[in-house]
Amino acid sequence: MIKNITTYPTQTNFGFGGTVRHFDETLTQLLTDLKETIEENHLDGLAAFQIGSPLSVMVIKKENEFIEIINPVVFTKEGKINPVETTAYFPQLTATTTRAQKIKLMYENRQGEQQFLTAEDDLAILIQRKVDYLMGSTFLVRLSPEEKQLFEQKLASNSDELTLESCPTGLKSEKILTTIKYGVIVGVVVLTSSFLLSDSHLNMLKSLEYILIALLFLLTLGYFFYAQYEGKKYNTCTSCQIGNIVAMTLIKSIHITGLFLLTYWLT
Amino acid sequence: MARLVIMGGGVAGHTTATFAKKWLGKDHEVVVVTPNSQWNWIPSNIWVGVGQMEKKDVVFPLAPIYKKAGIIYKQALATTIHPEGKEGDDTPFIIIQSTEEGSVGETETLTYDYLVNATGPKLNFDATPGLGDGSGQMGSNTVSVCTAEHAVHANDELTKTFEKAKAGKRQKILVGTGHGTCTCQGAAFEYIFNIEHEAKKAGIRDMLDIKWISNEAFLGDFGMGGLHMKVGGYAVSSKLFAESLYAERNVEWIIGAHTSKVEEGKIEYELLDGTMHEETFDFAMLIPPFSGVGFKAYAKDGADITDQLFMPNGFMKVDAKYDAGAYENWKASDWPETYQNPSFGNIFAAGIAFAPPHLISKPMSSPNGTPINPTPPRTGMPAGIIGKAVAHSVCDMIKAGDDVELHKASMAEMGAACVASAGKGVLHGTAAAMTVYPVVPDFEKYPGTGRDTKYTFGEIGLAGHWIKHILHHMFIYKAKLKPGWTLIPE
Repeated sequence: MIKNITTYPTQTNFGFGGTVRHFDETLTQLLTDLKETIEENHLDGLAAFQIGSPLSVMVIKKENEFIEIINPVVFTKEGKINPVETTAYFPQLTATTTRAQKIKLMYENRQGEQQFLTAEDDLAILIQRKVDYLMGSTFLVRLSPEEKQLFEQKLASNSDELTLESCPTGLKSEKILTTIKYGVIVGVVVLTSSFLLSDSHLNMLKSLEYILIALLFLLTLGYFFYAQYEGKKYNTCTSCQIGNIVAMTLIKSIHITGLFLLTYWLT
Repeated sequence: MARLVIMGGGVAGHTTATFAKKWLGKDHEVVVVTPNSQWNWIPSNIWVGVGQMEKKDVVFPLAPIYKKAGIIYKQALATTIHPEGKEGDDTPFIIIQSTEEGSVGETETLTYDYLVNATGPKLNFDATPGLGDGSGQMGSNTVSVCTAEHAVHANDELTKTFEKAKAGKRQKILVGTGHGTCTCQGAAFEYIFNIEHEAKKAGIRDMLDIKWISNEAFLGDFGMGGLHMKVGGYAVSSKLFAESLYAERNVEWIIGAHTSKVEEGKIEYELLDGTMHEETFDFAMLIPPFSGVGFKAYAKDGADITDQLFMPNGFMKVDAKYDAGAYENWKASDWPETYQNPSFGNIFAAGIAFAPPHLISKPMSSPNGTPINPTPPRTGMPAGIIGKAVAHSVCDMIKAGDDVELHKASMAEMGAACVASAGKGVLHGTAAAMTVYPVVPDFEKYPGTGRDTKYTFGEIGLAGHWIKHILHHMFIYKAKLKPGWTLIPE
């Protein structure tokens, strides 16, 4: 029977990856369903999770032949490659993962007999991606932190147009925001210590606090203009858009104003 | 007055003895027979093995503790069991051989009314040629962290390796399992990441090639068929968690491996596909396989009845289903509940000493027929819980007769918490904290993975390290029977 393919945002979860213990009619039916769903959707393989089964089963289509893989164990990995992958779970989206170039796989066939397979390149990548599904996960765990951040933005915008260059991590404007955040924290901590100080020291602390607040306001203003300048280079980056910059400027202004009011009332 | 004899003073034996004495009071005798003069908190041995703790931090003398508790302590090795007694006297007894300074080798007959076997395992180094010295002890090619003494030796060797690395000589470190049927991958897992952590601190990480070798079919199996972890808000299999951790720490791995031979600086191993390979090393810590300690049992007429009490691997037969057959037939109910020997109702086993009915992980073997799969772990928490349940049962039998209902503590109905250190340090330490329920998957109750997802999770971070350190002090406090010790859970 042709099944619906599970797609994002349906989460993989704890209930998946169950070892097949009984090589019976239920398993045979699952293998048939996987093959029919692969054919219908012109895919190169499916893990059982992708059609809603919790079992550790996958079917791979290679040169018009199906390979039925049950309870797979990848026990040898060699070489590293960074393929651009697609998967039916995240339709229309791609990501650059890190995979082994060559793997050795132990698995069982539908009779429960132990089998071995050596796979390289595209086949190895495909099997590794399906094994991730069987272990309750997706290729998200095979992404570098930068790629992961980028892919999450692709998911949010449902667009595959973004690239690391179009939305880089570690923007200078983001560093300014981080500096403001820590400045506010320092201001609050210093203010808290005012309860322990004598009046003479209190006046000095108040002056320092106002200087800090003034600097933070200037930094926020600097962020507002610099972020727009920086954002012009990255048109598709959501964090570079004017709406986001205005919102962040307002949030930081509220934090600094709060610090100012606390300083005014408490000292 | 009844006499309860407990063979072994580790986590299970100590728990059984101390609770039994507390519940039985002065009306009955509790005797502990153990060849060791000191109690060892084994989970912290890995820190001794990297020089972050000293031996004195993980051991303490048993004699004063047992004296305070009113427990009779025999520093001796139990050798034979005579459950039917001898000609003319039906009182069962064991033969023990002293290991105490001044009387080493002297034998003694010790009668009992109830007997608990809590000896733990025999570290079966000789199962792998070159891993042992041929006389049952650890060989000179590798090190171990299974005992406090081994851990001290491991640290000495590791220090030499670090010194060579500091002098500019690249070093290869190999850590893992020394046989295809090993258990206790967790200890090796902790040790390899503590070495990596210490190497970083010493500024020599780039001079070390650190490699893992294990009989697990996948990283993160831990002999339990794996579990699920929650990392950064994502729920992932322990396989993915472990692979990420190994990649992040730049630790290479070999899995599905049976270490078949160890030589100086080199091992040979067989993979799941039956192929043979070699790996060289400058420093290797390989966990040996476990077996029973090798007791012999005799009938009244002197006939050998060892097979009535023990399985061929030396672990004690209890109320488990040992004829469950193939993997597809395994059930949670195969696992023992009361730990009573089926032939002799006054004999129990606790902790690692009981024979599991079968593996927890899926059984696997190479085309050559070599079994390559982890055997079931019986860590401190289950060992303590089982020890306490056995103590309860024996106390009830002593007080109310042998027909009382026995207390149960099946590993298929109990959870376990495990905190695996990945580096020691107040501010920079890390540890993976995991809970799993039940320890033995119950595929009928929880279809799929066999585990209750509400109670099976894990996290890695600094807090985990603090928990591990706090547990170190808590359990040593409990074992020393200090005020409120009974309030600290097993």
